[in-house]
Amino acid sequence: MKKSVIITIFVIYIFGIFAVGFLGAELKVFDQIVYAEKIECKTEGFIPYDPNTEIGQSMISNGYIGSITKSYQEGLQIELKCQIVPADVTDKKINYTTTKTDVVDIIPNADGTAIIKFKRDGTADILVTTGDERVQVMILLRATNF
Amino acid sequence: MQLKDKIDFSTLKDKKQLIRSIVFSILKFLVVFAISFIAMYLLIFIGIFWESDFPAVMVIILSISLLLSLVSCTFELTTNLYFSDDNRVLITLPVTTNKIFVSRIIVFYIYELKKSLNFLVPLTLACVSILIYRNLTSFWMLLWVIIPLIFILMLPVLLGALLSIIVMYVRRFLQKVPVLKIILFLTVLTLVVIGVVHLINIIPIEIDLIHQWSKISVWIRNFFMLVETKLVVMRQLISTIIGEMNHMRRYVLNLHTFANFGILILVCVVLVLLVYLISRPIYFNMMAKNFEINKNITNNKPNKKHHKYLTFLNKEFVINLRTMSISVNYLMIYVIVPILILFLNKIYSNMNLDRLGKLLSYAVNILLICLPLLSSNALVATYYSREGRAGYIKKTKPVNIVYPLFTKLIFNMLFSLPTVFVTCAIFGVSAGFNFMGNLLLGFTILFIHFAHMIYSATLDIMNPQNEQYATTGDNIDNPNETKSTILAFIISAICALVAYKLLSEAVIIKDNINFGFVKMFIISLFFFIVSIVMFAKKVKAFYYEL
Repeated sequence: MKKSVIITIFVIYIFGIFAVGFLGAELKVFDQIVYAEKIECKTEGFIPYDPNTEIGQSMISNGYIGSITKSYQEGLQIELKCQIVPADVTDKKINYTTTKTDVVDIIPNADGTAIIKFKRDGTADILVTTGDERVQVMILLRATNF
Repeated sequence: MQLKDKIDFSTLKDKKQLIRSIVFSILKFLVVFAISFIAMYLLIFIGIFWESDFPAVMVIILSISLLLSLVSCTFELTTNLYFSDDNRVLITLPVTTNKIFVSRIIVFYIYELKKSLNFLVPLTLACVSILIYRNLTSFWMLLWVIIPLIFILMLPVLLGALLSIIVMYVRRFLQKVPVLKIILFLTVLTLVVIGVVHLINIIPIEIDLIHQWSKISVWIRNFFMLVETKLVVMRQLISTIIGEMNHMRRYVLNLHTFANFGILILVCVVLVLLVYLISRPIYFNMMAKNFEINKNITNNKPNKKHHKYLTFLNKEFVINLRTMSISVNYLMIYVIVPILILFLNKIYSNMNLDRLGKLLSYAVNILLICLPLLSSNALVATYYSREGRAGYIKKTKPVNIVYPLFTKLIFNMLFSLPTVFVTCAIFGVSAGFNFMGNLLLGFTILFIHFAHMIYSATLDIMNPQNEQYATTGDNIDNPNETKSTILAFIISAICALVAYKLLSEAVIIKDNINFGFVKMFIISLFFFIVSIVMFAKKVKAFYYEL
């Protein structure tokens, strides 16, 4: 059997599972609301604060979970990818805001991520809030110009 | 000369045929490209992966494609380099021995490039087009991707040439000790069964894709991240194709890309040297052995008179069982199809499905039973041509020609019987069909399988490729195989749609699913009878009237 045939059958197999799983699942009514517990950042270059260090401890107590540092170039963009834990939270919305509008622009995406555009070098705190507003965390973005 | 043996250039002589074949090739390319583009677009749209996961997706595509290419290249090169009959002719040609070896590898590489136009190239271009569409790279990237791909496709051929040495020695050893072949096959089979049982055990008790989707999507994204970090070499190959993401989140060609490209060329050069220094001497050694020290095996047993009809059956069984490529191919299909269906139904049984879900699962089951079974019939479309020049001897046999032609199919028909019924029983028991329903479904699938098999055989009769098999020994660009495979997909899709329609009607209107099975059985029986009649008529026209 040819390679392309094997791959196509495999793809159809997976598609068959998903198609039946989505289109044919019995409707369930859930009255239980699952609330957000925490926010995790999956962005490349994200360094979480270490609670065992003095700086880390003070940053965490101020609501920060970690930071991202990039070298500044004109047009620098970072895609912030945050996820709510647990994954089956009822309100999956994530909001990104900042007070440093002179440093960055935030463009939210529909999939829960956001593009952060740097206007100039500097530091910006990004406040990440869950849709139910139960969890808020801060991420420190730094664009340094050497 | 070797390229002519491998690729059909007869269309070059006829302008109309040439235009037709070019248009068909472009259309095929565009269809694969369009399907890949739409699929990628939808996967991003529904959030299966993020734009930034694109390199990881491409890593998976390229890894699977190169791995399969490596496996096929290794086995095909083993046959073509060390066990091909035309080696005896090539060694007598007035050219340097190096030219013979180099031309063999070059022909194989060109063939690999041609094959890549069917799948890898359109798929990669579709990925890059998505990046362009999303403004993540420039239009010129489409022109660049072809250049690294030309070198990347050299890797499976050159690695295959090196690995073929090991495979050749293993194959020769297995030929000397045939019992080991059976032990090896049984070991692989046992491992597959153990693997499947293990997989079935890890299926979650309750599967609810809609409500568990957030968890699944997190799992998918973590998997992509893992792929990117673990398959570092493949990630570097992808960076050669699409470049690196810059600070403005655009994929561009930078110094790192060109450094990777340089390393890729260097690896290719090293592999070429290794192949030339290691494979070439072994190739000539094997050629000479083939030519000069071949044992003349004489059968001292007295000739025995067999029954006129049984002798054909006996011959086909001996050929099929002794030809490893055929018997293993069928045995894998006969074993894999029930396992696939068992696994699928285990997943479905853990889902809470409503009536629509159950009907859809029946249609998907029928589609996935038919697809591999019917696709395996592509081999049938090469049966008569595989006989090479000996194929024409059939015309001298003292029986109606339909009989020896039909006996060629008996092996496949007979051995697919238990597979079809066992598979249908697995599906039927999971779905809760009664005995009659299972039986009717089994016969329906069986008749569809037989009808397609007979049609594939008819294709081979109407467009014989005997000459190509006689020269290369193993023709891998057989148009009949392609037609048979395309038809297998079309028939399977139609079967699934018809099954959905008829079973829905039977469940909703009649409240008895067996009504639907009876209708499906009648349609498949009709299809089977038509294919037999067509086969007999075409054989009569081809062998007696033309």
